[in-house]
Amino acid sequence: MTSSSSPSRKALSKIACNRLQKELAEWQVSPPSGFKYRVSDNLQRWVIEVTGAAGTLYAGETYQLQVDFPEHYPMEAPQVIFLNPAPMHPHIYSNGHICLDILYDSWSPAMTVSSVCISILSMLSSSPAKQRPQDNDRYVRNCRNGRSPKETRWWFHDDKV
Amino acid sequence: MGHVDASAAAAAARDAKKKRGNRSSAKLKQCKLDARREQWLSQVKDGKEAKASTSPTGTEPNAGSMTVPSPHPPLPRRRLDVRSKGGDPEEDREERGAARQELGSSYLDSPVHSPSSDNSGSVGGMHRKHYNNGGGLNLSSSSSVWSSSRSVSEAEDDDTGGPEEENGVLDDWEAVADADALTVDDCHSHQSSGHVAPPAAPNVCTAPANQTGRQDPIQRTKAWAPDDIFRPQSLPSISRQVSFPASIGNGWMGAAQQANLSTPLTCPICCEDLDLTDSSFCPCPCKFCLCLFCHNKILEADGRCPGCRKEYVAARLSRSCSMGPRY
Repeated sequence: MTSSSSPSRKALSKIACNRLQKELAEWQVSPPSGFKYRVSDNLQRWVIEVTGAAGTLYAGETYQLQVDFPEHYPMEAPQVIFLNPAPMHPHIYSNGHICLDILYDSWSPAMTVSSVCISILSMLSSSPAKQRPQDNDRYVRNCRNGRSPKETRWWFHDDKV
Repeated sequence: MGHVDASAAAAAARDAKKKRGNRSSAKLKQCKLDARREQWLSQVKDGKEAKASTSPTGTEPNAGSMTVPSPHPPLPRRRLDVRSKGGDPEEDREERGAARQELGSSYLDSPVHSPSSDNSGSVGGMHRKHYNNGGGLNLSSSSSVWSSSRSVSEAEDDDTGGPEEENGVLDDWEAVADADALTVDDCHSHQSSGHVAPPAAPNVCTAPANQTGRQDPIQRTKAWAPDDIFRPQSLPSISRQVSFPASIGNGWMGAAQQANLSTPLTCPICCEDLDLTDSSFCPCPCKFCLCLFCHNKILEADGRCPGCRKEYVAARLSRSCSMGPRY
């Protein structure tokens, strides 16, 4: 039904490749807590296991996060989505798309995969209730063709979660 | 009862001595008197020199104290011997009284020299006893001659009624006795002083001696106490004060150096090494450093600083500069 998006990706540039290799090396030396990198030969696509923080609604639960890097990373933001099943969150749609400003308009070349993961974990930890967004059904219906979340015009209205 | 008997015995001894003196010739008496006067004058001069020099007297009491403890054991035996004899105890008492008088006078006159006088008195007493016991017939005869001459002088005084010349001689004797008290080495002078000085009340002499003895240790402890207190306290406090600021300074210097050494060596965007030009390049007030290549790319994209997300204001000026050489 709702399969993961598979956009046509270009090969990484020399700068992006160098940057990602260094980030991966740093990740292996000191990974952020609650995250586990699934080893694979594809440097352009990272699959990361996320474990809910203790004392939160998602404590003990594990979700999978997919990070796809563009050709001109880090000048362009990576595409970050949750694989099925997606966690029940007011800002995470059932197709795995995440409504987080730093993944779109507020992206900065100084950010890294680690900082993005920490922001997502913070978003999960501050969730008031396990529920879907109000416009979840309509949004998922519109993205049936495998549309990328970067093509959506997001409206970031919630600063608390 | 005891006192009356002692006085009677003393009087009898004096009478015997007077008879012996009459037998000797007048010429010999005069020669001996002249020699003794010369000796007295020399002793008086020695006494004055001793008084003038204070430092050597300070050192002598230490030596005296070292030698004093050794002759303690033989004391009781000599006392027993003296007691066995009939006339000797009277002489011993007189000598002791004289010594006490000397000690008392020295304490009153010069309290600073009290320890030296104590040692000198004890040493003198010991020497006297050694001389009397150790000597043979010759020594005993010489002592008898001295005593006989003294008794003759006393007899003359009584007969004539006290002429001026004879009175002067007596004054010399007293001066010699006082001077001898200070000196430690001369044994004969002590013996002469003992004999010449008349017996006085021993009770009066003993009291001041005891008091002075008790006071001495108190003064010494008081004098040394502040020194002992100050020495151990002053040293550690000084060392502590010196060491603490040095260590603190070292720590601060180390921290400052470490801070200076920590500088970014690679571009946080492309992870390439920064050369001298890139290191000195700082396009944003927030101090976010990056290489020129990445900076140019960011300007083409959105022109905002990756660190603080503010637009590069000065960057536009650099653009205009770079455009210049191209044309």
